[in-house]
Amino acid sequence: MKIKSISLSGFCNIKQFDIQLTDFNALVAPNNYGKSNVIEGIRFAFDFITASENMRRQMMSDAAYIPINTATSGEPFRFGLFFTSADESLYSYIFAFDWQKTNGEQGSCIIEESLVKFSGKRCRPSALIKRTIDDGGLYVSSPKARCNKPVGASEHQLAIDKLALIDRLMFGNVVSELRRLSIHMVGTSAFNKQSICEFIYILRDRHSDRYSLLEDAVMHLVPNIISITPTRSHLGIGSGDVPYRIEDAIYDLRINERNNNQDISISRLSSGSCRIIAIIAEIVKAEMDGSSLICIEELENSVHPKLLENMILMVQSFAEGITVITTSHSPYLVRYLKSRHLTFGLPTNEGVASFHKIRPTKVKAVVKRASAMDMTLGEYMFDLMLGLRPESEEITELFE
Amino acid sequence: MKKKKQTSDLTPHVVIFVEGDTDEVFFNRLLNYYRCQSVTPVNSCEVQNMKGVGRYASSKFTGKLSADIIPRNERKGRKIYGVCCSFDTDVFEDEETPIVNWNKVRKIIARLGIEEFCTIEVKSAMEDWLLDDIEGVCSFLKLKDCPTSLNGANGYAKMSGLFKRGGKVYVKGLSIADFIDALNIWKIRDKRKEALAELERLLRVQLP
Repeated sequence: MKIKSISLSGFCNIKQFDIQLTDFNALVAPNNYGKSNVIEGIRFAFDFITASENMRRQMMSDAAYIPINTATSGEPFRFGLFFTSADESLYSYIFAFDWQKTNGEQGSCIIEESLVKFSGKRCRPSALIKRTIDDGGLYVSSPKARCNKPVGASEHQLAIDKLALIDRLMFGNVVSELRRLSIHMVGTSAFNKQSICEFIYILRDRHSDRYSLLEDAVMHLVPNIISITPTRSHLGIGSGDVPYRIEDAIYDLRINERNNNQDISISRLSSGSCRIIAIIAEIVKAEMDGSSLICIEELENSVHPKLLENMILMVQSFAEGITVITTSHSPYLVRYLKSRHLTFGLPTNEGVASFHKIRPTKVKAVVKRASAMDMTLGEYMFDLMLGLRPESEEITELFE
Repeated sequence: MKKKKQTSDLTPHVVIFVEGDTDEVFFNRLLNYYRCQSVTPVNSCEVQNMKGVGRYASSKFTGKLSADIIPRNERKGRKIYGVCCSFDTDVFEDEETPIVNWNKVRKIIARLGIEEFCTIEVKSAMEDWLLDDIEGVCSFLKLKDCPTSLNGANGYAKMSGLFKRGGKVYVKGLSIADFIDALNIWKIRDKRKEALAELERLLRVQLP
């Protein structure tokens, strides 16, 4: 599945978020503009699609995400995807639910769901699943039928849950692709060294081709590293005759660094070098897991600006076919990407997240302005974002 | 007191401005090739990395020339005779016209008393040039079968794909020096001689 666009609303301070995706996408904004909420909202939606009914019930009442901003409170959660499936056809999938309410109104139930196929040169839409608040959903049961066969999904059940159980469903492949949707998150906090080292150890043993690429990438991005060696230390298997003995082990990555007289553990590496290794390993893992989307919080974190361009290229190269979204507040990152990859956070009076791309017809003008002011595009955009007021004319003039 | 040299006594010197690390490595290697192969002595020359094509139109460019390169070379008995700016054409794909106004750059150069100015269009990116010696790339990667055509939207993607086949990762920048050393510069120069013609004229290169 290749995701083409995402829309999201009714989550934290997100009133409406729409993004046309390229292979690599950056949400660029100063602090507190809602970048992380967008990423969290997308993760939440992906998790919701694949969650059990019980889990969904809990998710619909998760106080951490229920919108409390005056402009978004009471809004249902709504998530939409445009994607091409494995058979290269274009589809849209949308679902919405009402958050739990404490004022006596009915909440905590799925209120909308649709799957539409777009075919032919004119992309004619044809509904495969339709669902509103009043029904348990309708679907198309055969190529010539209309979308009128009841699905019978309950209020915490998505129609695709029930349709997945039907043998020879006309669009069964798309339903299973949707139910396999997975997102891989790379956060800003310290990574779990044990799990990264274990992954790299297994990679070396079972996928030597991918391992050599990872090793080569690490050595290029951190030139001080001459070689890396994944190691596994057994913690002993104890004594006594039991049918199954758990075999605990500690994993490490031994680093041979230039100018050192001995190898060191990954835990002694600088946080920047560690993060580079972790990001590359996470992306290899995402690619092997068949993830549909990789979200990286602040790719530039702990990475020297000079390395950033190669980091971006490396992420794109390893992600190969998987859509990547990163958040950023780095003018350097803007410098290394084209305008179609960039979505900027803009200020609003309501305190809601508002993200927009530069109008394609205005890209040249923006680049010219930056150049006239002896600034890089990144420096200019940050200067602009920080100086903008919600009522600024530049918002409507320059952004979509 | 040390007598200041007359301008006419100074040795002509050429400055090649490049936009990134990969280009810096390549042009230094190309200059070595010219120095070794030219039947006539090649003008003295240096490569300056601007780290971004947008900077050709900035005060950094003028400042670098007037406050650093010109006085430094004069102290060494050299006069800046020509300036050459190289740029990858793919940088401008997004824009309708190049963001760098080359006429403006030409005027800046003239105001600084530099006689000659030229640009080198690297189509579409340096990786496309490096792939002109695909056999050299394959030999560096120890690939037994060298492909006749490569998949990828641009030179970088093609190069990355080829490197992946060889179990390596292609990284732009200074770390590719070993890789460029393994390439046959004659092949690349031969295929790109039109783009390099002006530079070769400024350097007074005469290849056999």
